Amino acid sequence: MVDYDQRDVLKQRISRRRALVLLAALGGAAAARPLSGATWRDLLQSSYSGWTADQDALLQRFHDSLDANVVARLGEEYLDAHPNEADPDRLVSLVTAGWPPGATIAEAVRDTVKSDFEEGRTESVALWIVSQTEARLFAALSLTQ
Amino acid sequence: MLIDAAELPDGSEITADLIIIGGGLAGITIAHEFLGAGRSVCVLEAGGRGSEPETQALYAGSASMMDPLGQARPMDEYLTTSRLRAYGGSGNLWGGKCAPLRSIDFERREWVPDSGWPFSREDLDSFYDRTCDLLEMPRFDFDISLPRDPGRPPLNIADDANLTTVPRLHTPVTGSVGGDAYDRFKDSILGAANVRVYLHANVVDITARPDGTRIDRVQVACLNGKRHTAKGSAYVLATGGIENVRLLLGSNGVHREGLGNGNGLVGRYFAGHVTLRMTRAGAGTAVFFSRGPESLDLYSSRDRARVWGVLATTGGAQREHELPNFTVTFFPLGREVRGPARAVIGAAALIDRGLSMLPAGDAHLRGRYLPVYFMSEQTPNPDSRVSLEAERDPLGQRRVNLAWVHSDGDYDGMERSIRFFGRELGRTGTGRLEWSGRPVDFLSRFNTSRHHMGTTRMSASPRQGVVDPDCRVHGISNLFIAGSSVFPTGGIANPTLTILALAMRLSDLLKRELGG
Repeated sequence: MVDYDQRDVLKQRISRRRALVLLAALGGAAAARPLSGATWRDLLQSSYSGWTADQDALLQRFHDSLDANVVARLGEEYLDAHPNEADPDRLVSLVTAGWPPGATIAEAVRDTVKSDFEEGRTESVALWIVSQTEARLFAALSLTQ
Repeated sequence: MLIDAAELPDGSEITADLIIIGGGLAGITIAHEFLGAGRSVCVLEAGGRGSEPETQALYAGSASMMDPLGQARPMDEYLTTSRLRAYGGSGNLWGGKCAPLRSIDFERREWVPDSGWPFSREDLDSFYDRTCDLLEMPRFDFDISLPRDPGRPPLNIADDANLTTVPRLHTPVTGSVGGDAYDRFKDSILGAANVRVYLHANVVDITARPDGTRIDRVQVACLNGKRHTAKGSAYVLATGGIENVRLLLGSNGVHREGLGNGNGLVGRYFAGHVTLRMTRAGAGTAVFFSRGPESLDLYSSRDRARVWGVLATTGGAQREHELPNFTVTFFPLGREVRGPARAVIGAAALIDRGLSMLPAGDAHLRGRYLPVYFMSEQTPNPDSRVSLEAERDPLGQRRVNLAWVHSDGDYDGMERSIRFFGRELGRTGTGRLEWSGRPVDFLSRFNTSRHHMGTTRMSASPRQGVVDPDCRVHGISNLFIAGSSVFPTGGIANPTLTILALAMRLSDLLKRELGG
């Protein structure tokens, strides 16, 4: 259940976290991890430019609710099995492909996850059976920390 | 009346209208049904009133479980630990969990070879009711999908389209829990004028008349060397799914291949129940419920006085996806939520609850991450069998070999059912499945039940079964079999309730035939 009294506090926390993430990424040094020769800065500069606020908010929601380091490990597990998806821009495109226009993020994610399970698009991550969309979100987070 | 056969004069002849071989739950139930029926009944029990090592050792033999990957798991001890040769039989060990078979278990299913009973669940319903009354427990006449216990609502997983809740109840009439109910049950026939129970009366041969169409007598042996005979108008073999085979195959004086074995089916189609989870602590085999009722007590409680819920694939889902019967049973304690599981669970909770921010801390997740075990129906397999070894026991009976074989189809059914269950949890926004199993590990992880089924299976045709729909051995008019060895398929219900329902049904038939 949402604690409505805490909403404003949470909003502030999200903004601060988002700023820190972007700052670290753009700064390059702190979270730098070479990937296919590119730096985080290179990747994020190109991939973030196409992001909508909604897409960013979705990832941010995960960031703020979950232990980012653990999620990153889950994402890396997925990327080990799917190295061709090791690109945050591509991952977000894959996750959001087919999202109906006008749907809220909540509806879109829920429906995509549902159809993943329905059509057998599942992945094994940390011994759990999760939808492909969930696994890709973990992976996107692991690339954008 | 209780008589020790070892104390009778050697060569005694025991006579009764009905001879019941085996004083376990099935045998006692049939005798109980004859109380005051005007026909004499004799129960021949191999053991004493309690466990006796020398008697129990008569069960010894060789056994192994095999998987479709070519692995074998020796389990000789299973033959002596999974049953009890004493008055009250394995009911003395039984946990008392009861469940009726489901309607689809009785159907012929094209995707399950050799499936199908010669009658329907509906035909057995009234006998299930009578059995529940005998076992001093509620009848299964309630709809578990409707809340009946305040605070223990059932899950509604997409209106039960593919996954549903099936009930389990416990009887106090069992030897494994305290109380005197099982002793009362066993004693209930001992005071009757028309019932005699003989202890230490090991039946070692069921002797047919020369034309082979009727049983003439049975040979009784005691470990002190005494030998007796017992003669009746009708005979019921009720010694369990392994020993029934041993007696039929060993009684080959007239039918050289053994009684009822004209088509080589006696001992084949052995099926048991196994439970599967990957670790004792539950890691790798667990469910997180992201949504659903606040209390999961219906599924996780171990209060024997209340109904337990088990999740099962529906008949519709089994038909549509060609799956075997499959259930998921929950353990009472929730697992600690941390590490990767915390991340997966947190993400699932976020998504399934509409990306609402989760409350701080893990309190809202606690008790919703439950270890489970899976059970998947073992499909009929003629290569899974009980046969006789050359070695003989002290009474001269050949010892048994059990080759409990799981087929490719069994493993495929187990794996597909687990995946289906995991997908359904996610598809319906109910939760997620933690599952780390690999088929190569199943054999060592299986926990075996004491359910011995299928070895004298029932069929209208003697080419496909050992007994007919009346539980009469094909071709032998006065020999009947009681017990789960007659089950053509065993579903995933604990078999005792069905064993006793069939025993009630057989009792009615015998009373008609014997004129009681």
